[in-house]
Amino acid sequence: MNSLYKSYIKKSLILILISIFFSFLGYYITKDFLTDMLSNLLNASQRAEENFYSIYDLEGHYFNYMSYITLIDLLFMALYLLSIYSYRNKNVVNFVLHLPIKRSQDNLTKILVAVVSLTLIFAFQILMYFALTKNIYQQIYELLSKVSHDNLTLDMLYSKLFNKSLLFYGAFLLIFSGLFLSINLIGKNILALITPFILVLGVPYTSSGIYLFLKILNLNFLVNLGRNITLSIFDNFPNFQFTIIHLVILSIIVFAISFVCALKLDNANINNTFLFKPIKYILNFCVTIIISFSVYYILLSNIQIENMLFNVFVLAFIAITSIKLLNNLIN
Amino acid sequence: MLSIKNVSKYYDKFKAIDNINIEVEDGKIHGLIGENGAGKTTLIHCIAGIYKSNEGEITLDGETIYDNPDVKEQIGYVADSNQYFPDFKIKELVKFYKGIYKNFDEEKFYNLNELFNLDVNKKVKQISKGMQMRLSLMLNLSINPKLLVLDEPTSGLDVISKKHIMDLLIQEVEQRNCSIVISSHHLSELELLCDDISFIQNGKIIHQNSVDGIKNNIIKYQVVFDNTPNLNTLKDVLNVENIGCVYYIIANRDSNIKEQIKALSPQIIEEVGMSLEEVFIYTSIKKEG
Repeated sequence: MNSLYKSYIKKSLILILISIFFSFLGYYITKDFLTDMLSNLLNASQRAEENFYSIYDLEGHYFNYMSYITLIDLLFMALYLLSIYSYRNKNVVNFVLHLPIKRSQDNLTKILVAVVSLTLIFAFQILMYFALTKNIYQQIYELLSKVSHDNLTLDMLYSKLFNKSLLFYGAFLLIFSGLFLSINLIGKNILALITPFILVLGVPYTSSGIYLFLKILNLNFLVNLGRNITLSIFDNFPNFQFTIIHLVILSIIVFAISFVCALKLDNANINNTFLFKPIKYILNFCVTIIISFSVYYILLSNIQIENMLFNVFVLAFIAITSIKLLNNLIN
Repeated sequence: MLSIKNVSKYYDKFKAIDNINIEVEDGKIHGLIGENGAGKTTLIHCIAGIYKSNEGEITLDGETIYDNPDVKEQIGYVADSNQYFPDFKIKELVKFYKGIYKNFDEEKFYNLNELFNLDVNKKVKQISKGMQMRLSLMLNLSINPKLLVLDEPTSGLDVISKKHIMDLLIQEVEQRNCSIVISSHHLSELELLCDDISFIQNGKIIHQNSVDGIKNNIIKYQVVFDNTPNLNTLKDVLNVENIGCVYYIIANRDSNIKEQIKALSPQIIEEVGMSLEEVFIYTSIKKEG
């Protein structure tokens, strides 16, 4: 193995070590909920009928832990990507590019090292959680099973948690492949790393904003159309396994596209240009829509003023930005 | 042999280098001269396999350089400023090179270091610009390249180090019959070092010849007149300067400038030598004009 690939592995190992530290931190931050739950259950065991906990609370706790580590892992993976692609200095980028290493192999190694590290981190985080909570889960389950009418065995609970972990893994893999795609489409810079987050995090606000916008304009047929499309998409995801397989397949497709883009990227314009000009305009348009409808939703839901002023504002913003984009496109 | 055929490179719509043709035979040193922004570094990046040219082809011994690890193994590249991972220690960089280049000669590196005296336990970011340049040269000479591409290698170096580097490069070419492509603003250095020179302006080669050939293309006369005539009547003149009553008239050698000057009845007319720097300046002025 050549020195460059070793340097990628070294970086990913450092990342894994940092992630392990933060996983422990995450566990200890969220652990209080479990210990409180156990002590409350022990105290309330004499009055079991007053006990307000259920086995599903354990699932909720696990969800919180997974959300925390996913966020931390995404942050570290973004930093890792930036470090292996931009190296903080254009001369260093040129140095790496002049080395006698096939570009396709280099890009493939970057993707493989990243995916393997990601998988190892996730596996460790899940196993660590299960190992550290084994006793407390056992105790809580035994106490709850005395009073609970849920027909959920501990094995079934673990199986549910494991499926949830895989779902998180699939979603994370998809976001990560999106980061690779973004960095190879937009350029090797911070903007490329932020864009997928803006796109993903803005979606709930944007859909709510669009929903309110259409409601106020009395365009109910569009609201119904959107609802039907959403339902038809989610109806096609009958179970966890199906969803996970789809997420993984989708990630592989995105990784493949980003790999092809990486080979086509002109290194002379490495830090400041988009690989394909139309992507720039499409992305600008998407970000405009997301920001405008998110702001619209936040303002409307906080201030509770349902007047047309907001609609005029949003329409004007979209119109001005679209004209600007079209103007750029023509020139 | 390095062969650059009809190479052009665009940055979006801007043509950074335009239809460049250069051939560098084994054992030859080729200099690239040009003003800032002329396209020298872009050309060097294309030769080193960093950029892919939009048009034309760059080959070493008939093999394309871009994305060809076997050929790139034989090319050393020294950038105009630090190109290495700043947090690497020098000894880690040596190890890094060993892990990349099959031909890397660690012994040669440490022998060269006896001359340049770098502390291998220091990190790249801890050493000065001049030392980074020396480090880059040492590492790239240690891979025993067939072609060495140097972008302003003497910038930021003291006179002694410059001399050491120039001597090393000449010695390397003599001993191993390798080729060197070197860009520099210090034309006096190139004049001593290079066999052939290419003048680049606005991405195009405006002159290409051996150093002597280039200097012989242009002629400079020192002329004294009793009464200064109207020199505007002279044709094919590149430049006219005067210090007091002594005039310096520069023109292409193939023009009939001597006859034209003689027709103005000078008191003294004498051919004087020109440095490469002067040739570059007058050629550039003429082309810009």
